[in-house]
Amino acid sequence: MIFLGFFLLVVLAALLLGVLLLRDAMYGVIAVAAALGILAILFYLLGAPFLAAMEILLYLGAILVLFLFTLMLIGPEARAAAVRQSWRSGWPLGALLLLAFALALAALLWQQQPITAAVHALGPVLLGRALFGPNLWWSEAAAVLLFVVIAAVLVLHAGEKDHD
Amino acid sequence: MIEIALAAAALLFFVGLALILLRRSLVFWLLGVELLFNAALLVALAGGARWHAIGGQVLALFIMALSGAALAPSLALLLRIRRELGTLNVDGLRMLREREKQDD
Repeated sequence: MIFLGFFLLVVLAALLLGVLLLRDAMYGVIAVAAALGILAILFYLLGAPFLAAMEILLYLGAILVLFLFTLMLIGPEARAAAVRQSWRSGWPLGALLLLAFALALAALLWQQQPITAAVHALGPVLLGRALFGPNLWWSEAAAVLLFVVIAAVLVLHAGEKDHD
Repeated sequence: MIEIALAAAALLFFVGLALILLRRSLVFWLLGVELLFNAALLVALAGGARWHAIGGQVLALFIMALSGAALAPSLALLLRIRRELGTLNVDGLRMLREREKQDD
């Protein structure tokens, strides 16, 4: 189990490094998709099978496909321009900040006591009872929020047409 | 397993932040935001697994819905930026008002 975890961690690190260094956005999206697939396996090992399925369905099936659609819509010339210059103008300062952040993160993870709790799977039945029991109004609020998002996207699109 | 999940979350957060701070393309910027959301999701699930509580999964599900809700208008704005400014360069997004005739 622990070897599988380390293997997943190494593959995840390699994929994320790829995302950071790849120049073409299309390849970047594909690498993120692979990393999210690894994450779905990790979710399953953490005892959340429903969330693992949702990661595949929602992230790989909806969100990253949305990214690919957007890349298709912005056309090849914008992607080519992004490929030519891939780093921001003030990137050394950002890299310095990131180095400090990485050191802090490593120190934080290093000095922890080992967690010995065994992982039990908590299935979709429990999750459904929690969602439609004590968290019912939060679920409704999320539904309303998603409806508002549809309206917001429509408004953005309508503004685009008016501008021409 | 929980420690590995926390290490993976730290890795995701770091790379997400690096994409936002270093990359020039707006598409990579949004991918970085997605990675940050996934790091939060993984920490919520690790907490739920540590204390054997379903609350972690509930929180993770809401984070998923919120990240989807945040991404759709962001991508619409990205297409709008591409149309209005003709570029996806993050460094170029400094104009806070409408483009006027002053450029000529």
